[in-house]
Amino acid sequence: MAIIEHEPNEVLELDSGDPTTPDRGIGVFLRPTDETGWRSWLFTVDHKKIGIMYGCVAMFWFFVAGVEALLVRIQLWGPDSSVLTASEYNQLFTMHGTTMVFLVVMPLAAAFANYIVPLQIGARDVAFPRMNALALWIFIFGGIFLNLSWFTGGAAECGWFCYAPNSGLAYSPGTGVDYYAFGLQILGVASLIGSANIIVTILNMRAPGMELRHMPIFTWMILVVQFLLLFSLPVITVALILLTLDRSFGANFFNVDQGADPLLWQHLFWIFGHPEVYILILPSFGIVSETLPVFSRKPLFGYTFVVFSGIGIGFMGWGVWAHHMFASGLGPVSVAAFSATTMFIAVPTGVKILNWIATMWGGNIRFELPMMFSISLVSMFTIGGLSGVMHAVAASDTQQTDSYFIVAHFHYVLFGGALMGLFAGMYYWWPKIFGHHLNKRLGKIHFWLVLIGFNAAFGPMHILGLQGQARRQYRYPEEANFDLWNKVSTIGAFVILIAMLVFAYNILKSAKQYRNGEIPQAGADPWDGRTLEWSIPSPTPAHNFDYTPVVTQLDDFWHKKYATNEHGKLVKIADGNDIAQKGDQTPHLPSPSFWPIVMATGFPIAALGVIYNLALSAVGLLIIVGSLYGWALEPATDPNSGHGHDDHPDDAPSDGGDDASASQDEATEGASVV
Amino acid sequence: MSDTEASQLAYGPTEFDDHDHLPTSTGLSHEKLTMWAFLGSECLLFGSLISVYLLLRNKPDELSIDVGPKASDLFDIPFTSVSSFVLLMSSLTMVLAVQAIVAGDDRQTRLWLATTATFGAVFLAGQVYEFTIFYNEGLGFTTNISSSAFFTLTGFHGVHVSLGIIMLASLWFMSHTGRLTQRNAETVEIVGLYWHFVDIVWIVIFGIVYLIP
Amino acid sequence: MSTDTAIADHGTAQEHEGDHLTFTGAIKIAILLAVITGVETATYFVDFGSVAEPLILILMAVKFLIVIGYFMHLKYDNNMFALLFAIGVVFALAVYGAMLLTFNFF
Repeated sequence: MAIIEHEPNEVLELDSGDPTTPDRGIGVFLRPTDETGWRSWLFTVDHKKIGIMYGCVAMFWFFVAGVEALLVRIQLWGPDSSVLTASEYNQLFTMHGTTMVFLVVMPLAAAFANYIVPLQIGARDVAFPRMNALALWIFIFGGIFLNLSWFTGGAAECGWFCYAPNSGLAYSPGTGVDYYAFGLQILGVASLIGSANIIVTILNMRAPGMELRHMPIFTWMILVVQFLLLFSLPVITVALILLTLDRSFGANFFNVDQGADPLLWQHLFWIFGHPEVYILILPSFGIVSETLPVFSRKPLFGYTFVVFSGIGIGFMGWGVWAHHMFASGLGPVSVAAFSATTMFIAVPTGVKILNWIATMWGGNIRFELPMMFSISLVSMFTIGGLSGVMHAVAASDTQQTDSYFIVAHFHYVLFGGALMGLFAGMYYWWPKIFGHHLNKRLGKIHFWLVLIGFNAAFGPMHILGLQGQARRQYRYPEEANFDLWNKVSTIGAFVILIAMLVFAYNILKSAKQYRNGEIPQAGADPWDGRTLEWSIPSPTPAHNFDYTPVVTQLDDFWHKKYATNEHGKLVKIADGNDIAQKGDQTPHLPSPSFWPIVMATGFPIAALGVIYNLALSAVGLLIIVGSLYGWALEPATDPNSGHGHDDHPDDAPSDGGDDASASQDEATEGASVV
Repeated sequence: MSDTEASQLAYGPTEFDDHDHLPTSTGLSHEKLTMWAFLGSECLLFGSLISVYLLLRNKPDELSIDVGPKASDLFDIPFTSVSSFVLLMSSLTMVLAVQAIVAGDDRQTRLWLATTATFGAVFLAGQVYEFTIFYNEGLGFTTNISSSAFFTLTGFHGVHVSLGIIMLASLWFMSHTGRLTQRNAETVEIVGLYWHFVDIVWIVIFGIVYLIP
Repeated sequence: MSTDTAIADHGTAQEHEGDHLTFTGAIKIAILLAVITGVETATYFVDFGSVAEPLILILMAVKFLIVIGYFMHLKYDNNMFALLFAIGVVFALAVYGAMLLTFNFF
């Protein structure tokens, strides 16, 4: 019986049923068994390995998208530059934006969501381990697919928002937009599967006693993000389908001759696109809400407020999308309404900032690396937030639209906000994930170079924007006098490059030193943490928890270490490393499976078929449907894996439960494929 | 600190360590929760397709050029009413299939699963017939913006019905080979949820698209 | 989220067991749905004037609620399911309603 995909619902499960179905399903002709080596990664269903793979792949795309940005910055170094052609420049900024959003920030958040959330709620894995692997592989293949366009006649040139009718065949005749549309579609499927999985994990697999009001704030923010994904992805799915139907099948949705309204695409895109903004930033908010209390040695100020402001952002994020369209001629009433909602959404965000500052206030602050990145998030995001409020004022926004001021704004919130938080998370959880700290000296160099480079690169864009430099234009004339700040910006971009090289060197060096025994293994609780992931050894053992923790309050683990003495003073009663679990139990785990990766290959093949030859689509669909059946007939835990069934001889319903869950996978995914 | 003190504070063995029988935090099954989350998500999908149709359905009238008929000019309401009724009744038979498997009656389960799938197929056949008529009367997918929106919306619904039929057929086959028994009642229930959802989408489409011109 | 409960009361779902839709109940509801569909279709043959559109919308909503309430047994089931679905429905109505408004109303 699977430990995860079991059948907990007693409503329909009666005792009088026949004995179980055959032990070995017809779909189970072979099964991967490796526990080490590359096969163990390819076929794994372990949420920790999947999380690490999300992270590694995202860092690879971070490098690619960074190079794209650097090429853009080189082009803008001086006036009338001719390093890139207009077309190349368009492709680079389009792919830079698309890659950073869909292949860097989202998967980095998914990496932490996968790795950390089950640990924070005291679970052994996610609700559907194989679906988790499926989401990972669809994401990986989707990313490769999107970037194939570089080698097939050029990537999309329409910006990451790809407005119609510019994205139509008349203005974008190449295959770039097709790769864009299907690439995003495939990535959307991955995110949708992942979001359903994590929602169910968080709602259903919390440790006994962990009510929602006891849940760590990072888990809370991830929950909000998964809901945003769940409800916003279908909107972009429809928009992209309409685009594909127009381009590949001659439909007329964005055909202006037939009375199409270009605003339709803009609405659909931004109804998705604005929740997406919060999908990018909320995980980082969650991370710093974990690190700031730990490194200030104080509980989070106003836990309830932070939770509710997060939920509030999630809800209100649905009512502000048209502020991306103020300059499109929406009409004064619409503009006024969306202007008001946009100003209003600054309130819950401001609540969070105040809570973070109040958490640090009077705290015993330790300037460890996660703390430094967290503080830089609070300050840099505030700058980006302030320019955001400026954009809420429609009259002012009309002046700033399509200028570098906007570019400055969203880089302050996405780089200064999202990425800073993700770096804080990396330094914070690195010992838990890999068993050792990153080098602190190199980390500090990394931090200061990032902070300086980031401000040098994006700060001047505020000035350039107000001076009138337009976005997405590959040249500016000499008379405009934009040189100085563009040069500063380009230098800043290269400082960021150096910072990232330092980071990469730090990772390699620390790993090598750890392998050679030159730096010690981190203890279970290196930061004196507050949440459950610190109550188990570092690196995390395969089964996470020896014993299911039973919690009674918020920050339960911290309360095991500290108590008030008879004078009402807080004293340490235990060291986290001493009371942590030993990781010496060997419970049975879900078995690896071939099907997720096999099924995931079907998606890019089917998409290539629509672009080149529909016969290929049939092959892709066949792969998907075939593996769906293989998957459905395969129990979540291999009956022959040596444990699982043997230790529960009386557990007759086991296979029944597996079949139910497998068919459910089929049901859910069969529908989401479309 | 001595080991005994530490072990008193640590998270030790509890009654909850038998993961095979650990109840979920909400008491609800993973699978059913996933299906409802997915259906919530689907609301946004069909909502946007319906909105797109509402926005575009009368566009051809506003153009001064001849772009062929609108979809709503060709509707055959009596015919569509009948096929809507068939789909509605398939929801009833789906409920009966769930009741049968809960009661442990495999024969009845198969009977109602097959009936539901058949009703679904009849509905689909009706849709194919309707599309053919439209096409012969000069309303193709690419004819104009209204026809693109109409065929996309109803086609999307049709794809959902088809997937439902495939799932029902799979369940029937599983039941036939003895792999679907009373224990898997929840599987049937979950497929049923999907099927009912497809039905309510059609209830909305029938009302908004067909009956209100 | 009122359904957030500790381990102790995981049996809540069981308490609703008795409320399940019966065979005859299902038939009755199907007949009701059929009648409503009949009235809806009647608007095509008989001229209801300005009442037609609101009538169709109301009947549609009634059918919608009956199917999710009884056939999908949200009425008997845990509120968590209803919440998940309701978020989807409400978001869809609000967001797309606002979008269509911006096209027609400045």
